[in-house]
Amino acid sequence: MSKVNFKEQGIRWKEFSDYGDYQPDYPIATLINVEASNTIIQQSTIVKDLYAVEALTQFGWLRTPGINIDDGERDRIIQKIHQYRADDQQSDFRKPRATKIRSFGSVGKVHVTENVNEIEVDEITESSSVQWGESADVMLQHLENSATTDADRDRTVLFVGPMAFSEPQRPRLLAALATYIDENRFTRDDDRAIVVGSAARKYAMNMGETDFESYAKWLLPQQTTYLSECVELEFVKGVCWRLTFVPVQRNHEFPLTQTLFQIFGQYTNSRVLLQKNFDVIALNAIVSVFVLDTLNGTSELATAVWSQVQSANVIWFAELVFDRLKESAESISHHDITLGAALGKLIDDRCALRANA
Amino acid sequence: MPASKLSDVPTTIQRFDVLVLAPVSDDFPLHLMLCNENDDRDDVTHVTFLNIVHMGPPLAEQRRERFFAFGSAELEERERPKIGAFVKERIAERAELRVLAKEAGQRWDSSAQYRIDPPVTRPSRDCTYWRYSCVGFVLAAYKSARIELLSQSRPLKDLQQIKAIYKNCDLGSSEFRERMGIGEGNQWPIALVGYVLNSLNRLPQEIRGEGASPFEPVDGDEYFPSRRGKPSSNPPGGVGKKSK
Repeated sequence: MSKVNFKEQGIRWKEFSDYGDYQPDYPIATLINVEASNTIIQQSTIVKDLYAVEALTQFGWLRTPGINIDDGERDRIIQKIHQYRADDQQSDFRKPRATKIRSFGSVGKVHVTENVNEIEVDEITESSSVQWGESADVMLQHLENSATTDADRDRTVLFVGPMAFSEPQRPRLLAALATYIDENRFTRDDDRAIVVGSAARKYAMNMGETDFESYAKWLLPQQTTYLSECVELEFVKGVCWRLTFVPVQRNHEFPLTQTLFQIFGQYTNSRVLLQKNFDVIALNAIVSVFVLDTLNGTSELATAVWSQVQSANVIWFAELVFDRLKESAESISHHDITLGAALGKLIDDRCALRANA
Repeated sequence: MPASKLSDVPTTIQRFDVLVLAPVSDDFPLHLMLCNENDDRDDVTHVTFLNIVHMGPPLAEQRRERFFAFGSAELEERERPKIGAFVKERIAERAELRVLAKEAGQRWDSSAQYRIDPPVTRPSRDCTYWRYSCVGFVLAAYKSARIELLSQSRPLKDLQQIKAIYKNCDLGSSEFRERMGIGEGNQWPIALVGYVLNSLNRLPQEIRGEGASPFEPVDGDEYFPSRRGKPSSNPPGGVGKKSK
């Protein structure tokens, strides 16, 4: 096999540049084929594991995608990989620090049959004006600047997730996130959906009581589109966390939030519950309904959703809801003893696990 | 035995059993994770590849190999979906962090989602995801199934001892220590991997159900097998990534 210069091949993947001057003796197509073999190196992927390429070569396994390897072969190859790794500790070989090649196919299955040139690869953004570690104020400027690119805006939204904002900065943060959520919440792009989820949680955790109802409107489906279930989970989680971990002022009403979350509670229908993320959406929604009912001094909606939980007759889920409700009451008690106690009482009054649960 | 070292003799590992990554020096385990295989595996040796989920950092689903030991609470069928729901809920945040890492390249510091103490930190206005140590992630997963693996009462470790465990982290930086939750004070009850293994190395009825109690570790339990009552040496290090 001839040496391949990745730059000449037009490969822009940053991980290969992490090898410094090291140029593997394998064509890129071969490397991807090895990734496709999946049985041997799985998520460790080729870029972390050129040893695997060496080992596979030794045993003549560098062929087309979709190869399968039996246990005997696998053990011999793994042994060889270990040997290379051990030898490598004595050398200057620079291993990459990150993997950017998208792993395809379910873990544990070998079913990749695409041609190499059809394999989708994550691209690395060439340059960015947004840097991790910049101040909250600079991050806000990135979000507010209309010249910020979509990629940089996504990046900024993710960066602000673990950042603290002062009280004067909070309205700017909320306004910028609201704009982002308005524009992107119905996305069907997986990566963008993740950013929207992050924006939703950051927004929810920082919003005031008067923002609850406008937040709930984002959850409403439109004539021809609706939130994907992964975005929906993050929106619902945002409210549940807001009600559980941040103090809530009294004397506010949240009718739309209550109604919507009662609807999400209907995911407890056993035909739906075990699919996708619906169990955890329902779990967070039910906790939210209980806290909102407690805030209102009522119990009707909580009673109704608990009845739905019981009707589903999925015992582990009923236990999970019960435990999460108890935990929420305890968490709330840390900052609002009265509300925590009232929620605890509501749980005790309305939630009885069945004897066999 | 509910917890055991792995060798070249095949062992059965089930979904959400606990795994400890090799290498381990002097029986001091350093990194903990959950088995994320869908089906039971009865062929697991110390060199077997397994699907796992763990707090690296970052929180990730991966395929790893070379395990030092495993621990099993002999989970019941209705306990696994609870842990599954916990993992599913957290993985949504993990996906976010994966994109963040991808977008940020080397500029992003994945330790933003890691905490040494307490091992489990709830979300706040300032940080809108759960933060864990690798042990904390496993403790929280099992707690969702009503299994309390560790007591809150744990041996206190000072900074020198913690530095020996987290050898690759910049614990000399007060700012970094602050982020890791050990900014104030002189000693912390950090949750160590060995405690979890020794907790699981009990009878199932001691681990879960009526009559069960969380494991109260003492000095020596950071090793597996435990060295209770024996003079302990400084732990060999290796946890975490070098912070930038």
